Amino acid sequence: MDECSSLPPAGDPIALANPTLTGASQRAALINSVAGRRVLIVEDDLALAGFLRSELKGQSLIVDMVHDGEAALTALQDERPYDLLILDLNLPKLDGIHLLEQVKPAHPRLRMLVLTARSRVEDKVKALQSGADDCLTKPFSFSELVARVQVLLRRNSGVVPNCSKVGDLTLYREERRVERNGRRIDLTPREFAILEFMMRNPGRPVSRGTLLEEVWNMPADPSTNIVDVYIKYVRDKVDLPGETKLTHTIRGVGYELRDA
Amino acid sequence: MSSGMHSETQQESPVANGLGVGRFYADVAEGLHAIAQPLTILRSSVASLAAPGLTPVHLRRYLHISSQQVERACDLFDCLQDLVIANQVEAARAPFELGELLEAIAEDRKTRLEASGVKLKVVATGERQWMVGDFARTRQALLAAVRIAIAVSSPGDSVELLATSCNGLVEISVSNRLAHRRTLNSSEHLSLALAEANIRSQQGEFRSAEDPFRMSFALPLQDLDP
Repeated sequence: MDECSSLPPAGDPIALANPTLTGASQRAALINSVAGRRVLIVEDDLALAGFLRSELKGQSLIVDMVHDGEAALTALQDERPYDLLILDLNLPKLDGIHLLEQVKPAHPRLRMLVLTARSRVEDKVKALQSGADDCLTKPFSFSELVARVQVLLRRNSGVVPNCSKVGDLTLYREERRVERNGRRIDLTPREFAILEFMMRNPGRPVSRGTLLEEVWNMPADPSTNIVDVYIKYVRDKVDLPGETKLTHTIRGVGYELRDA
Repeated sequence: MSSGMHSETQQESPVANGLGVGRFYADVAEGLHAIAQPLTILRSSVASLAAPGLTPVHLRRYLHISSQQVERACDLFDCLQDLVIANQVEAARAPFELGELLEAIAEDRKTRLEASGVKLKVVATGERQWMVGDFARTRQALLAAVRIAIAVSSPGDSVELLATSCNGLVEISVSNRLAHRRTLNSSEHLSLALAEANIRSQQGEFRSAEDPFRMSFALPLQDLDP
């Protein structure tokens, strides 16, 4: 994927000094800015993990949870990359610090937020030195967690370029514009979201279940063909007769966007 | 635990119970870690309850969550308090019957056992035997062990409560037959620490292992000779 230009970090960062979300419009704007991002919670306290998962889902995030360090390593092998890892330091099987040390080199773009009941400064320093982006001491309030999650996800979003290219197909995220070899392609918001996600994963097969989760924010459901229907809409607009085919069906898997 | 059974004699330090001060602080830290979990949920739930425009469904949900976590936090608080008491206040020293102790444990856990489908096998060797110690602390230690053993049980597992006597001592053990392949959480570690403090405060011997779970302790039998 060519990067046409870099998207500057999103402005108007949430001030951590005032983390309380007030105002429907502010809240909606915040939710929209991170909606559909994938978060993995690693917390051995089942009640707390379940509560955080439920509340973060309410923020339109896609949230998975595991309860030990080894399970976290396995979950991070998923073909769909996570945007944020929220982890406790006191983890069974693989301690949080060791998990951080293993994950950081393999997933340099993954943001990591450490939750700890250890208030000792050296624990936080160790976590930050091991690759954590931020630390939060329990008992924290959910509004503070959300504020920090928003900041980290926005910081991550700054790494995604405004413009992506696959072959002669170019997508401009900020302008929500798509062109192919100078030809403007009009897409509905849903079609744009599909293409945008596929252009973030060029040359990689993307399953129908993944598209359902990422674009529709719905759990994978083999009984629906909605993804196939929309892929056809996108394909009909992107690949005109006589042009090199960019959208490919991977039998038994899903779809892939690639140049030839 | 009923602290009213204890004499109010203050001990000099936790070291007097055979636990180092460092270990005592480590146990308290474990307890603080455990209590931070429900407090985090409570803090967030209460903030949500105060948010404007809360629907009745959400109101009920957050109230339910809050009430669960208040109970959990209170249980952990009691446990922490008992840990301090076990290290500060001298244990009672009175005769009690072993069978009565085992019966109390089985009765207390009956409902939980039935709900989880785990079998509790109680084996006591010998006739009616009288132990000497603090009934409340011993019962609490044994209950904690059985509670943990049930919590880590998997289908097909069983928990054995075995009491044997030898050389003027009763050794009581609680063990899982199968390995559970999970690490005990902060609450369970705190319970285990309290069990140990309760037994050591009676100058008893204490041992534990995590997987398969096993906790055992030894306390003296009453000397019936004149």
